[in-house]
Amino acid sequence: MLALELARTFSVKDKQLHGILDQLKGLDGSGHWAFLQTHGMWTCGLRREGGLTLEVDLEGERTLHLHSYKDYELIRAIENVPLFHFMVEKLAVHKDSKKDSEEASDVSPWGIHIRMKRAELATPPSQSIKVSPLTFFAATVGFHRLARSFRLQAIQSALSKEIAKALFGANAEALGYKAFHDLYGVGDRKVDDRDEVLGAFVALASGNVRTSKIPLKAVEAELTTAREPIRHVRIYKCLLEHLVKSKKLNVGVRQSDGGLQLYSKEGDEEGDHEELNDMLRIISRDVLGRLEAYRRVLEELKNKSFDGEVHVAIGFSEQMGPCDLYLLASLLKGLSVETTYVLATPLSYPMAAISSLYAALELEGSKALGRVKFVLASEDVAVSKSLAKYLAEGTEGKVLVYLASGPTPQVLTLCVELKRLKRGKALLIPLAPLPATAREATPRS
Amino acid sequence: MKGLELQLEPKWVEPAFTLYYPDMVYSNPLIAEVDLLLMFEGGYACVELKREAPDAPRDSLKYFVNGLAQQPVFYAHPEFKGDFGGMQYPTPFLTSLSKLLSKLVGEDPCCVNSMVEERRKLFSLDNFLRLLLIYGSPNACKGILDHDFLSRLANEFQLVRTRFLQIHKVKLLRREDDIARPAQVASKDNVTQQVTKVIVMTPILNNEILRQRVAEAVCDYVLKISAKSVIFVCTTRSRGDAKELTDKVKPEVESKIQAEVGMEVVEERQGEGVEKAWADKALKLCEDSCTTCVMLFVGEVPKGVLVKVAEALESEKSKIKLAVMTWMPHLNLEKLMHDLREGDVREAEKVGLGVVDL
Repeated sequence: MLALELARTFSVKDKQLHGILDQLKGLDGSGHWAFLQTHGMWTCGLRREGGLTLEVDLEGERTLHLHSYKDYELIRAIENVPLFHFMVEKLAVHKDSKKDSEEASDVSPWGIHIRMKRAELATPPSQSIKVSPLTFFAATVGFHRLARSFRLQAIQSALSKEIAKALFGANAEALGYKAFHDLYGVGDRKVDDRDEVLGAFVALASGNVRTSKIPLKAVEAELTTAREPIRHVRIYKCLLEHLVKSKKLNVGVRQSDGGLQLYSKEGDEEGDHEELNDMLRIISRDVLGRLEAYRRVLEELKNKSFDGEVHVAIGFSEQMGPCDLYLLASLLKGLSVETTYVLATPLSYPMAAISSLYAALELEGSKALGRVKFVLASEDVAVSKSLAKYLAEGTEGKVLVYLASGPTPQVLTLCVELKRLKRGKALLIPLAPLPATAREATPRS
Repeated sequence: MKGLELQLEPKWVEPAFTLYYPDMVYSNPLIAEVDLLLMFEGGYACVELKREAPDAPRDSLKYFVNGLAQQPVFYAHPEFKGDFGGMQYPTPFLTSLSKLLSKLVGEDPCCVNSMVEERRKLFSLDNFLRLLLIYGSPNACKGILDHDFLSRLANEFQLVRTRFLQIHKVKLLRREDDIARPAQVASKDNVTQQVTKVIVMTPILNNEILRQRVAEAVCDYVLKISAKSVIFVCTTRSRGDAKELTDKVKPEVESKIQAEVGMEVVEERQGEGVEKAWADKALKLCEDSCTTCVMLFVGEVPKGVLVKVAEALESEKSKIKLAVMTWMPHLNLEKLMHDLREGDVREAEKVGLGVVDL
């Protein structure tokens, strides 16, 4: 058994954090991870010191362990998550918790349904690794299409530095930005790079194993453009077995002919280094394929020159996360960027807000993105027209680089309206991998 | 046991609506249906319309699953006379539905109707604001509503402004300054003039239900504007889906308005990606037409195609019009009210695909 433990404490001073949170309206420091769990619609303001772990077994089954009496508040909160239920098989409360008996009598007529999931365990998980809220969230969020995006975002975020180095060379590494998970934990309790990577891979493999047990028709019903909802199930199952057994993973990213590729940086005691590398190679396109889009942005910007400062607007799709802003900061380091607008929709808003918060904490100070401005819009054509005016007014007289991504109605409206309103000062770049000549481009960006 | 008399008078009563998961590509995106929403100063209550009191507890699971369990849920029916005849039921059955229904239409029925209409235009945003209203904590609501772009929208759209006020009342949020009066924006009728050709940009549509709905929406649109021809433009990978759409749309529009229905598959050219080939093919088909064409985008067309089309249409005199297919709700308020008076509680908001001109 391998358990993921949630790390919540920011390594920045509270005062600094709250100042930034004030700017990024819609976030609340105390409910930070609850915000992620519930798509930002709800936060109970729980203050927790830790003690929440998620245990994953070889079949991808998951048990959430809660450790103190105060966790009953959390149980109630979890049980009433409106938009996303935890897709854990069991909520386990440790027997030595105080006032268990009092709580047990507190049964509402509606609560009976979920109480069947509760269990009381005396044995803690065998080994815990501390992970960031993003990875923890990705491990618990469920089996829908968006949940799979969250799991990919967790891996991409954990590997941000490696990906930037593979895409943009050693210069990206020299910039020395912290990744999202580096902001979590203090001192000895700091989230370790390798633990974060291991946790994120466990979350993805476990999620895919569990998803493969859902009838295929039900899984396909959630899709629009993808033909293969779950690929390589056998590989993911082997990978999960490997991770749960070895409890370690040291992964790098390199450039290969087929695009970005994952590889194991070290062999393990059992000598199945090659086998692990094979598995990582096979899933590389699943995990990193979308990020090839940034190579295209780099290509498109290479031959452009700008007089003075520019503004950047990035359509934040539901597949994007903190890694995207990390890559953007690495990519734009040579430009003089005044403002980076992060354009969210109701679907992408929680992750866009969290990513903007990360960018404000870490990347804004480096001047790579200028001022980071989180914009909550929607995919409605009428709203998108207003958004185009808002962007045009905010960037008057200066070039606006629009990285086109997100829902079709929003992207098309922004492209047409920005061209019209900015009159030659709008540069439109599709945030999608360069289309191959031999095969069709990936339809969703 | 007698029914429950509601002592508090709600500030607003919202007619039947559905909350949707923000990702509308789901074939089953529905989160919760609320028959009536009563909004008070500092809170709200859901009303579930049921003919019989014993039916009410069956919905407990639905309300629980949707996270509404800890909110007050009342049950009501237009024909309930206020007495269960000695039977005991744990669920609160309201006796004052007629009063609530009169509040629903309110002093200004046109206002409710215009809100229903504006919801069609701002469906994604309004759904989000309703989610905030139902689920959002006061802190989260305050933070989000203070966002400057949303405040701008509140000044531009009456519906957004109303939602802001409702959320502020329900969550007991104080504002030092009231929301500014909305600027009256001249609404443009969503009418396409003298269109003879519709080019449907067809990506992969993996979902069978989605394909069916797209076909129905294309039929409705083509019949509405009486187009002379419809061409589904696809790639080699979306050929199968485009063929299915063609087969579904063809008999319908050929029999009713004698429009031609065809399909064009994009062939990639050496050294160019499919994006350019796809955009060029669609633009060429439009240019070949003597009259106005509509390029209709369904599903998730690759962003590179969207950018190339937008760049090609810089001329404002272009005879090519753009349109997108998007989800929009429909609620017949008059029918709802009529049915409720007749004791029929089945009428509800429906969501389908519709075409919006850019």
